[in-house]
Amino acid sequence: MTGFLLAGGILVVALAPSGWACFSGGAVERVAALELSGVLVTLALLAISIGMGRPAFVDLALAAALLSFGGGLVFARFLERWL
Amino acid sequence: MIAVLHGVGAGLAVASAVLALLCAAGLAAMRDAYQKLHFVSPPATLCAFLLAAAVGLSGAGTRATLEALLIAAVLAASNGVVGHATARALWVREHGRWPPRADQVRALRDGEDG
Repeated sequence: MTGFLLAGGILVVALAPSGWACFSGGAVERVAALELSGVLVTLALLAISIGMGRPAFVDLALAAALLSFGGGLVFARFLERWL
Repeated sequence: MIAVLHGVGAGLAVASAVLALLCAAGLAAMRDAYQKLHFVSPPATLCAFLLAAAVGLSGAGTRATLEALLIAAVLAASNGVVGHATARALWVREHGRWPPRADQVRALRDGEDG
């Protein structure tokens, strides 16, 4: 399970460049970085829950995947119509 | 044999994470939104399925494996929809309407050729 913890740590580190991209560039560039951040958080939650030996917490990753989908669509629609 | 499978699972998990890290660095390095959007797809498709395979090989249980596969399927399916919506929003912000006119498509194609 240490491999999963290592993977979770790498995925959390990967949030740094993605988070930096969220704070630079135009609005659509930031939304693209936010979408990648949602994917990274989902994968990190999955890897950490398996690495910690708590498979029940995989539900959190599933919830994050579904919520980031809805959030990405709302941001895209908002950018297209009002911003 | 089981130890070998667990080792392969851990290796797949780490490979998936490293690929996601490279894609995050690539997204931060690209200049415009169209280029950045391409770097969202590999973590949402390849990395997610690699991690689901790793969960299956690590012996975490049938339910966790099925949920990991479901997460990978949700990410892969939603990535295309959200990516298209974002690219369309960018096009509308730049050109004012969707779908693009024939002359706009022709100009894009000529620009790529030239």
